[in-house]
Amino acid sequence: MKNFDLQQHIRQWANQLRTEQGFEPGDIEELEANLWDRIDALMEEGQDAKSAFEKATEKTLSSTRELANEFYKAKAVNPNVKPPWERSTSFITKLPAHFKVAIRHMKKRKSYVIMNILGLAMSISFSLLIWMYVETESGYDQHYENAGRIYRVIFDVKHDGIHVPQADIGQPVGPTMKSDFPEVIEKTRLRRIGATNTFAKGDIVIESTDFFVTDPDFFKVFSAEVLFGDKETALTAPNTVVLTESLAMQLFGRTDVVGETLIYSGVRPPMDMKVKAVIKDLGKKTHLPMRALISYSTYFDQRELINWLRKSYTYVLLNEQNEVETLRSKLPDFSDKYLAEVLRQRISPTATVKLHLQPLTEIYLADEFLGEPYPHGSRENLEILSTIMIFLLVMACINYVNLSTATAVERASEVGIRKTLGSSRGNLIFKFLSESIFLALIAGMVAMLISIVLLPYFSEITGLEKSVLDLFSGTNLIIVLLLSLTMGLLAGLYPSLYITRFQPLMALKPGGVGVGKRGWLRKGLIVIQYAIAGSLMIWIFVIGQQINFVKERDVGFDKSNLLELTLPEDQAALQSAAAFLSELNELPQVKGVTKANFDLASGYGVGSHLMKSPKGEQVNANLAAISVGYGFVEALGAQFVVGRDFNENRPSEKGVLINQSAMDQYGWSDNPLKAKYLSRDRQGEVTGEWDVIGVVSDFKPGESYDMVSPLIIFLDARTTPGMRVLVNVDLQNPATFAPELGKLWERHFPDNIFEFQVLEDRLNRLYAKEETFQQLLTVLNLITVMITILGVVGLISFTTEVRKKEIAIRKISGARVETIMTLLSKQFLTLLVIAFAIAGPIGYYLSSNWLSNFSIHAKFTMLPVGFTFLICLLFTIMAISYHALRAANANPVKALRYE
Amino acid sequence: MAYKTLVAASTKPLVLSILSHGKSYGYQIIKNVEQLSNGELEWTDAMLYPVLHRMEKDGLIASEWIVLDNGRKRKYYTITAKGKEERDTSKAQWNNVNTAFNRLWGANLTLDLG
Repeated sequence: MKNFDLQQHIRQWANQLRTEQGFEPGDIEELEANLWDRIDALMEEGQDAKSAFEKATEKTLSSTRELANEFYKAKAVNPNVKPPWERSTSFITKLPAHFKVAIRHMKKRKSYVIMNILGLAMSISFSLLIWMYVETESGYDQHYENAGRIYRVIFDVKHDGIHVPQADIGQPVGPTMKSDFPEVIEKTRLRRIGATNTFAKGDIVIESTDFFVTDPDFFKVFSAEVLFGDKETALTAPNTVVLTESLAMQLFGRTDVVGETLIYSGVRPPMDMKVKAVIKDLGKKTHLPMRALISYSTYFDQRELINWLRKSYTYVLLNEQNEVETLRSKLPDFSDKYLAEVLRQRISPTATVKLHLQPLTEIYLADEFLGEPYPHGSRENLEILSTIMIFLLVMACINYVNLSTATAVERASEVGIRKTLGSSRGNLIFKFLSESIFLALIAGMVAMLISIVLLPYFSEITGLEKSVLDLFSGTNLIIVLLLSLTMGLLAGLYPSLYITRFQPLMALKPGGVGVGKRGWLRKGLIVIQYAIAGSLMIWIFVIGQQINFVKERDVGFDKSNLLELTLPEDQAALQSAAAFLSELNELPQVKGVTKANFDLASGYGVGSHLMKSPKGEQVNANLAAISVGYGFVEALGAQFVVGRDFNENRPSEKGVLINQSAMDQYGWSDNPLKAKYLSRDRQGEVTGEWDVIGVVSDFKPGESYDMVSPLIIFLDARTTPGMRVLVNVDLQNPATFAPELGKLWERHFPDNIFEFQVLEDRLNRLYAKEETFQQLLTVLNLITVMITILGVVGLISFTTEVRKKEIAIRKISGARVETIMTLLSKQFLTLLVIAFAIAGPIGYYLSSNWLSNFSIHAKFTMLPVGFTFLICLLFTIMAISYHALRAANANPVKALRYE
Repeated sequence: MAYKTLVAASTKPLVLSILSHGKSYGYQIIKNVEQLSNGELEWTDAMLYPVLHRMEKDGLIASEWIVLDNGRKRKYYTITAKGKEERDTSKAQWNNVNTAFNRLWGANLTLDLG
């Protein structure tokens, strides 16, 4: 039998105890002494060493772990708490501890943390706002029951080289489609009537542009909740109306108003209307936010309903199978059969027509066709914003990666110690991930605060109607939470993989981990950030250039000298209009005065007019037509290329004016005054020949970025209520003329308030959409620039940290502060140059894409690229100079003290 | 084996009472208790030592390492003044319990069970 080494066994036994936590110095020695006592006692009883040892240890130990636990409990402040090694090791239970460590680390590195949180928070906040905007702008018309099966029929006419898709279509199209195609099970037609209409009940008068005329089938296509009345019969009889709940409340103060009458006035003389039903409001998210439906028979007689050229918005409901493709394939034959001939006769012999089906839910974000009842949202804006939102999120993540890998050296020793103490890499990855998630969660909270501050501005820019309370809706909070978690996870993944890669031995040796001395990744990321910020900035700059360009472009009339007045609405006051105008014309500052029904701030549509060329051929000319009063051309400040204006002294003269574009387009420049306009009656028969008495130089009403259309100008000498009067004032600042004008006005129209506008202001407002878009982009760009700068600051502070000793040695060897500054700044400038090599083309692409929306636009030059580069350069220099200067001026002794 | 909670409750008074007879060490205490209880109370190391440490921390007993003739060390415990007080208190309590039981189980007891 081998000799049993008692001493060694006891030592082994004690060592086994030492693997357990929970013993304090002396505990194990005492237990060892106790074991010896037991063994001694057993051996005295005559047992051999081996069995004594076995018996004694059997008595002592249930298990080493249990023993340790008992010792821990005896010393613990609260004996009921489990010892740490007995606690659950699942990551959830570890989170608070990780967060505690994270907070400790954050306290040490406040500026980094603030930069990181700000970067994340800003991007989360903007993403939230953009999301709210996207959410508001999308999902229109989906609340109708059969939304997926409802289509609007679009009328797409081409003639004489013009292509005009229209939102409304001939009256008989809907009913004919229903009777001809089994796929169409219902149809309805709507028209918007006139401009402003009023409903009156007693003293309450509601004026609105949201009243529609519709046929009795409206409710068969659009599901609407009827509160009172019968929807089957509601819209059958003439002079009946269906009100929405809110309108009924406004008019009557209650909703059970079926059978009541109200007075309706609009394009027709006031008439009594009977309320036949009250429906729930159709909601904000619809492209047809109607407030009242007036029966079709109030407006249209049978003759008009069979007129293929009398337009209405036509919607069809398809069968359960929603056989839209089958229906589409049948449409060409349909339009050939019913529409082609009519159009050839009435519009142009070359006219061709196509019908399209537009899904109801897509209408709101689709392009606007001619005659849309309401302006649409912009899909393009939504797409651009969503793209920028993703950019922002990516940039904030990049920023986190940048800043946390930059500070990784500091965490290296922590990783080393934790690994030495037995942490696995998985544990550590999780630990660092939970840190980044923690940070992102804080950022999420900060983001909510930022959003509260930014919401009013954002709403103003985008027209979003949201309150701070909406910000805190459940969905939004969940979005912010999810966004924070995702960003924390995405941003933290690389840094945690990176930091936990350190070998413990290397990590604990001073200077052992030269983490990312080259740092290609970080530099690459900075380049990406710069490139994003730079290309956006280039684009914004180009938008600014274009806005200036269109505002300053010569539009062919004295837009900055024109004052605009609106004549009173009442007939009585109009009697003094003629006297007012002639007195006005005699004032010395006034170059010209004219009346026009036509608005210089809006463009004009194109029509087809039968003309006779100077050589005597008949031409179907595509000309826009406007009607103006006497002295229009002079008042505008436009010139006559040839010929003259309408003559006030020969009111019976039959003449028209054309513009230069019209003359050039039809090649009449040799002898334009021999061209004629052929007037026609309703059947299309020529009834008379009108001379072209003058050719006007081109002028461009509306947006100046469109081409000047060929134009025909008719005389309309009548004075109607609410007509515009244009006054061309020969003054540097036409507004200074206002007091004098006001006095004159007071004299002639004492009961009417004097109001005027400078035409140029109104024209400039046409570019509000572009300006809004520019503002929005600017704000977003600011954020991208800020995030980039945060990244740069992070990188420079890291670089100066890593190169501290190098800088110190250089200084000792006689390097000057400037040399060191250059040394440190050089790499950033290189990065900036590389970034702009990328940003330039991207910016160019974005800008030229955007510019292509305008038929006339500014040229893309290198100026925006250069300017943007300078701005970025300036920002970069500002960002790095603090750290670089501090590093360059630092006392070298401090950096080298530990060598 | 005695009931677990009873063991837990009686450990401290037992240790204090044993140490009142003079200083002693862990194994000796275990042996003493075993003999005193006719082998009914068999304490384990895992039970006793933590209790000793707790009592020491609470100031009821004090300890010292003593090097034995064979060169080995052993930790001896002595009762402190505070420990004596504690012992007297618990002695009174246990006596009360004891008296109650003795009476209950005595030969001629009549209980008024109302």
